[in-house]
Amino acid sequence: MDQAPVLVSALLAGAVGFLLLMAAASMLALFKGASELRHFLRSNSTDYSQVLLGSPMVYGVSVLAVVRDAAPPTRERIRRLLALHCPQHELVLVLEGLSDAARDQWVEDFHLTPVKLEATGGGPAPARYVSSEPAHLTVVEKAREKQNDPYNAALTAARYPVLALVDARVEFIPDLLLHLMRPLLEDWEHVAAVCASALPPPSQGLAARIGALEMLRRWLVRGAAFASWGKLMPIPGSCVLVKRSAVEAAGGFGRGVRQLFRQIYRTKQKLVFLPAPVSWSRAPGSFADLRDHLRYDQAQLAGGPILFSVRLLRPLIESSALLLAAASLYLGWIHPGLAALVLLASVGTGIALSVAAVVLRELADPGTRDPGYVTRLFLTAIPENLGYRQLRNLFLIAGFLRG
Amino acid sequence: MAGEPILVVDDTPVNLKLTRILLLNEGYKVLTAASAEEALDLLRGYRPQLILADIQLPGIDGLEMTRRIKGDPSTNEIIVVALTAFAMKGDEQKAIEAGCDAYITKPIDTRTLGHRIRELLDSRGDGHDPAPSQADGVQSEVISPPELAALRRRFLEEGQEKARELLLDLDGQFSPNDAARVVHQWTGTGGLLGYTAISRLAHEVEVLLQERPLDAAQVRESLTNLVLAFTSPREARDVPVPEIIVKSLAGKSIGSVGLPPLETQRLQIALDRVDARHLPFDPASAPAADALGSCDLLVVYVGFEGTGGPWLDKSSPALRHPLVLMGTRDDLLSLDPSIQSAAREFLMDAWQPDEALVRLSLAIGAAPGERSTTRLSAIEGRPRVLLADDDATVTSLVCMTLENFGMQCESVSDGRAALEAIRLAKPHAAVVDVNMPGIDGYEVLTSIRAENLPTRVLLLTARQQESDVIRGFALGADDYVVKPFSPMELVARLKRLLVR
Amino acid sequence: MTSHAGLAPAVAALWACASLIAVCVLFFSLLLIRQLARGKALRRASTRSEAVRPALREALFRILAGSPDESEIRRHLENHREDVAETLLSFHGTVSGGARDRLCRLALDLGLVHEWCHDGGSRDLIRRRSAMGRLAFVCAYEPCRRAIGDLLTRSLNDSDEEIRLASARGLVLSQAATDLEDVFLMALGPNRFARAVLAEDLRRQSAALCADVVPEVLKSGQAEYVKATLEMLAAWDRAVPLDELQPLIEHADRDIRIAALRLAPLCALNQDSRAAIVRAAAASGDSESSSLAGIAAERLNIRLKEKQ
Repeated sequence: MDQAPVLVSALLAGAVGFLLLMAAASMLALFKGASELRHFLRSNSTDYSQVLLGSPMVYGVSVLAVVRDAAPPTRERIRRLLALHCPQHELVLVLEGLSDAARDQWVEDFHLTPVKLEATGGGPAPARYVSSEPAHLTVVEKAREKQNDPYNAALTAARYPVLALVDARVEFIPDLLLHLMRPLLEDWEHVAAVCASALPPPSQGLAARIGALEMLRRWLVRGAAFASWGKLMPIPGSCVLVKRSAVEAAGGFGRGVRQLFRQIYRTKQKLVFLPAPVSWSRAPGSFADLRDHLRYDQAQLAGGPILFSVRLLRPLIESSALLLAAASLYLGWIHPGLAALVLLASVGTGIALSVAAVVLRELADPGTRDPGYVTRLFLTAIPENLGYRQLRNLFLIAGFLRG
Repeated sequence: MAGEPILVVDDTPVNLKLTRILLLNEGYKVLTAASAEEALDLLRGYRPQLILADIQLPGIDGLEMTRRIKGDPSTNEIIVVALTAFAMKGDEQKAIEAGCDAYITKPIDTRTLGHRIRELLDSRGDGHDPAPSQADGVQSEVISPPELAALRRRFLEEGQEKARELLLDLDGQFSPNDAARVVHQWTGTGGLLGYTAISRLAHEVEVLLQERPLDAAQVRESLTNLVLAFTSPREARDVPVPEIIVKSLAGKSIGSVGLPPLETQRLQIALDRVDARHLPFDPASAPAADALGSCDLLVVYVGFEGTGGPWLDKSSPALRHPLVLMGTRDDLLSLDPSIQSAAREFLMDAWQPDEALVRLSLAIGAAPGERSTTRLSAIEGRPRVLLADDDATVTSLVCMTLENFGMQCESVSDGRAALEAIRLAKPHAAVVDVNMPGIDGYEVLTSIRAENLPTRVLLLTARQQESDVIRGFALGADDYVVKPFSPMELVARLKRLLVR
Repeated sequence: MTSHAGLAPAVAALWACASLIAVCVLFFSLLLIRQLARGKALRRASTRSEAVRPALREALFRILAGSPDESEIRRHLENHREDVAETLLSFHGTVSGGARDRLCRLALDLGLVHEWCHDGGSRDLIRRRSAMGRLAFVCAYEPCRRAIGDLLTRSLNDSDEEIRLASARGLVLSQAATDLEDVFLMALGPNRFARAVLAEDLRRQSAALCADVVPEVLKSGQAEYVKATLEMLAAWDRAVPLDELQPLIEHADRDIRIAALRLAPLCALNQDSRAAIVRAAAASGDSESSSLAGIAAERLNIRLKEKQ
């Protein structure tokens, strides 16, 4: 019986140590990311988009997109993808799991004509359409099957040596492809892909600000910092330009974008992160949106030690430590100080990291945001870590166990 | 020394002709036969040293022909080279078994054909060198007029028939690979025979046939266009230079004075495309009126010294002749104004053949059949100019410049507004950017000409669209300026338009 | 019962942790206040700029339209030097010829060019980049070139890629023959982006480059340089004074053959080259090459001519 308090104390001490270590590592990554961002923003790079727009030396781009409905916003988004600026580009659109009515809506709206296909072996060939509109649009229709199959179907129909993946939740500027193309052209031999992401514009509401804090930390750490260390991870709401040869070498899109990134690194090729405001996520409008964002992000990061430690181990240890500390305090097994330490290691470090992210971003890019908004964001670190964080941990654990 | 005699046997007339030309070029003596029967007939009185034969022939096939040749003691010494299709496995083995000495897989690599034939002949110890090229360079493309006409006729007939067959086959037994091989022949041959549209359409079809999965609708459409092109090659003929410019310059003599070699080359390229003659004059010698009489237009280069020597002297008869001045912007601007005003057009800086054609045709006074012929009556008051551009910097700058030079300027930022404004106000001139949202500058121009609106149009084009200058003039533009531009140059061009 | 043996270290650790976190939060709070104050100052400066720039643009429009009055520009020079520079440079890409010369002369008279030359030697990378970009714009004007001296030529060897590119663009505008060759050779390097940008700038100098350096590179035998050169020549889409393309049309490297055939319609070719096009058109080994040859044959008026 006397062993229990000692054991619990030791466990809690270990948990505290782990959490502090994770916090220190995160803080280091935040500083690195902010330094990279500051360097990029200050570099005063000239915009050569208009020159590239008229150059025959720019590689053609196949933009791959997958849709699962025929709602007006979806169709409008496809029109905007067709209007992207690029000397040569096409849009390969996959209609996945659509009803006949929804498919007919696409056919009518984009003046699609069905074409006969040769079966290439192993099952029926997906139905395919071409558009009679001036912009080059190819449409492939298929049933919903494995997760990344539609992208493989799009890859088969694509004709250019460079592929673009524009996340469905992303807003973008018309010159997106030209900005993404530059790092690829600068070092075609060694750069396999370019990933662009910027922070969403400010929006109202607690959920939006909590989402902004999450995106900010993710952007600085997984984007800027990890890219500088050669470990760029997919960021939800980013656009990727990737060489077709790199995708084919990785065996297609079958195993997800993260595996594609890993494969690129394995072949000693580079992945460039572009923190320029050429594409950004829409800010979450509610806590349900926040949950969806988390779920989406979780799916992108399947597998890997970083995911394991950040997305499972830390939430697990943190949640367990808080519960254990609360129970042990109630049972009188531990000193209140130790319980407070656990709380500090969890909540306190979380607040420190969130405020650090806000301030470091301001240091990197001063004067571009409304001071009132920045202050509100700074203060949102408190409710974010007192309540939301704990629920988020439980959600992450449950999501991981579900697979 | 005479070249070795070679017999070519192929049932495709155009392939036969082309192979013959290639071998003639290599210095061989070449006879042709369109079938095995014809070849065997020829061999009664003719002994080639080598026979190049397609093994897939109508009637007696190439293998049977080879067996008969090798079985006859009087002909079994002749080297027989089989032409086999690459997709047909086993063809090579069959050819060897029939007695062929060698085989060449189709498609033939024309760069190495001569060398291959040489090797085979040398291996027999018949080391005659092929006839040397003619002293003036082998005109490998020279054939007699009847042969050329027959070749063209056969090309069109064969092409039309085959293209129709392919169209019909699309709904049934269609092999993209076989079709691609057939179509492929037309790309190169069409260009050589002058049927560019057929050459380009054939290339399009071939690319489509190689795509997987096959885009049948597009193939059908392109094949239909190809059939039409074979049926009416004149209508399908792709003349990059607009007819109006060709008509104005074809058969004309264009004199030139003092052009540096590069400019001479560029001018020659331009004149070749419209079948105009180039008459170079000696810049040092004084211009003679009768010599000038032999040319319809004179192009004088304004060189480093700033003048064209005796040709641009104020008393020179050249100044009274239709004249185009060529040179750098600085040299042209430093000319005496009286000499400048004598010129009908200018070719400035790094002009291109397309631009030269346009300016020469304007200078020579081409009948503006498709342009507005409405003469501008003498302009009363300030000339009214409409500016259509979506770039605020350009509109502000140009409007202010035009106002400073006594013109009244109204600006709009898109094509639709430009058309409405022109219909309403009927300005004397319009400066139209070709890249505008919605309706672009070309569409605006087309509408202006279609409605016979009496407005001169000057196009503003982006640098990368210089090659579209011809397109603009074909649609009826009166002049153009390339961005980035000098506002003064724009004003100067507008003034010339308004007084033309 | 709690273990008192572990109490002291736990309390100590608690205080240490709490202190560390408190210091962190306090530090970032103070930093935030400082940044917000700085941001406010920057926004005030930006507001002042936005207020003055329309007036500067109007003044420049008048100057470019022919007015000799520079008083408005000079009036703002002392307090809005950077805005004057930015407004001058905003006309890059819109005007050329005499109008551009006027802008360059104005930049020189206002002392901006000398300032940029000074910044061009700065150790601060950002300042140097900005200066080079601006100097590249004014290089088209002879007096500015004299003021700049050999700064741009030396900057071709700068460690920063962006500076090298800006210098190269400026040298192209200055049109000095030796510099043009250096820039052309730089454009043949592995950086395809630099080649795309410089190809556009070098277009107007195509004749000068085709006189010497282009034929030399084409004869060099170095496949990558030859391919890059042919690609640039085709991208220029201008008539080029090359009459000998036969070795390239029949080169062992397919990419070079294709590039040479794309270029062929832009050249006035000799007989050997024209014959090579005929052979390429009649060849059936490579569909892309034979169709490009067919198209070149038409453009160059190569026909199966009738005997006269």
